[in-house]
Amino acid sequence: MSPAVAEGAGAEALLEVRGMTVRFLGVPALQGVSLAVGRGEIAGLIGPNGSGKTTLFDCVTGYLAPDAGEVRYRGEDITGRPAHAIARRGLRRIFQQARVFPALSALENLRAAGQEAQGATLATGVIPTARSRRLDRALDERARELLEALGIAGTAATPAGTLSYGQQKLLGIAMALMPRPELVLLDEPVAGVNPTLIETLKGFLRALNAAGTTLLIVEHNLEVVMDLCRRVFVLDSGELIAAGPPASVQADERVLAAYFGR
Amino acid sequence: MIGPARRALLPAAAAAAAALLPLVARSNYLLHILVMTQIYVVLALSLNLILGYAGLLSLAPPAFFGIGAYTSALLALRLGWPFWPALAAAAAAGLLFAAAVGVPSLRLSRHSFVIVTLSFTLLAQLAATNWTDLTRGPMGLPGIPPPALRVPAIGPVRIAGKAGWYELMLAVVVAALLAFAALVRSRLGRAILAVREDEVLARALGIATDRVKLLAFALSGLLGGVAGSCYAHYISFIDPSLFDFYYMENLLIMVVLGGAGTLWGVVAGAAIFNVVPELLRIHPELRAFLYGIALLAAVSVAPGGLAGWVRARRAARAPRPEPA
Repeated sequence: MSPAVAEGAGAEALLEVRGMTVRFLGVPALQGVSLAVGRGEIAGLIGPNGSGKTTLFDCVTGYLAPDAGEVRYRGEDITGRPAHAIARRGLRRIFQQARVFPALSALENLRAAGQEAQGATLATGVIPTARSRRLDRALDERARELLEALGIAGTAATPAGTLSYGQQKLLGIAMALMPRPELVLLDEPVAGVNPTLIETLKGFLRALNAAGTTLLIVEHNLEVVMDLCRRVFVLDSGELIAAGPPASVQADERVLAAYFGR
Repeated sequence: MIGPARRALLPAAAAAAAALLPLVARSNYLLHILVMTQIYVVLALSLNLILGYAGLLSLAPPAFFGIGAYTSALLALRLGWPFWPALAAAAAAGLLFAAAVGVPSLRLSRHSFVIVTLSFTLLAQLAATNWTDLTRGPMGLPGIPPPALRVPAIGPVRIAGKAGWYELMLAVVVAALLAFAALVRSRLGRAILAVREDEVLARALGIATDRVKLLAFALSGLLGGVAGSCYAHYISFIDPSLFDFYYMENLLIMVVLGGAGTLWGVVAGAAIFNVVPELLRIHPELRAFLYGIALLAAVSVAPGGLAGWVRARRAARAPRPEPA
């Protein structure tokens, strides 16, 4: 890991990516990328289209097995673990498109999103017991809290597929947050969202971080990235070309070259 | 909003009314259609669970139906097992065979899964036809005994007549429906729906999608086994034609046109598509033709099935909520 990457990651790295390499049919999508996200920070990940940001997210969250390299979360090697197992450990991702379960109500979406982290057994899953009812009540409480915080409390009973795009995006965020995850990877949280909602989202993400959730954000809206993140990683053609505070990254020649051509 | 007590009232009343039906319906012909409908309801639930709730097209319900029928028949004929243990064994056989097929095939794409389930049904038919030492092949297994039940306060009862079968099957159907309703409302049911709606998202939320699909498929196999066992003891003769694709066609019609992913829609579908072909007997030559026309009309008018059509009617009548 280069010193520039380790710097500013804080005393303790919550997420560490080391030498991550992925090839699609021989074409490299990521080439030896290493980065670390410190506990409690908001880090940004930027780069031109096709630079490997989403591929990196896929590797970290278990959707893609890297050809080389490892992912460490809370100091533990989680490379190649199944996606659901990683999600249960408190590392959650939010997809680029608004992704919800369309036929289920917003509340049912949130229940489904939160129940697996409650560690219930299969029997609790099938037979209605006092314990399963208690777990469901806890889910409902958390769901209403999140709907309230995101300003979509009125949608609880509405089928998620009939919500507006913005509302679906907010619901998707609420779903990831149901079990109070420690680390959330957000893939373009403000893409396709109107300016007013962008401000609301920024405030929400800041408050979330202040409450202790670590965030790693992929975003094309550089204003939002510069505004939210204290540290930014820049990918270009699958390589990490810069890392550091937003101001210094913006001035970096390689970054300028990547974005505006050489 | 309807309270839970009142919501339970309607199904309870329907079951009570159904129990009294043989007092009115005295013809054996009518009772036979009703018993066949009841067997089909259980089998339709099997397809409904995997297709309507888990969103996976399985062409294996006839296989589990046949496996259940053969298991139950062989245990009764060769080993003299009574009805209930034979039924339980048929259910277990359906569950285990489904799990054995599901473990490798559910890892494949959804399309490959369809092909594997179809192949399994064909394979099961081949086995039933050619493993003559066990199944007597195309000669079939005649003389499967009717259930001899021990009813509390009445004593031993031999279910032989159609009315007796109707009441017995009513109990099986009610038990199957209650279990099914509890399952799809449970936390596992929620996970099954999540897998149907968006598997990629489900995994990101910690849902072990492979395990959930396997459980849904295994339980679908269990329901198929139960239906097969009842059929074998009711008809008292089975042969390899049980595995014919004809049954799969009927099932798909019942589940899809009733409303896949709903409970009462599929029950109604099973009832309607057992009765309609009988009504069309008025004209023997036009029968198949009229049935085809009726199906086409139903699919074009209600692509979401009967349940989908009713839901759309209700939504159209309800006041629209203001978008936030």
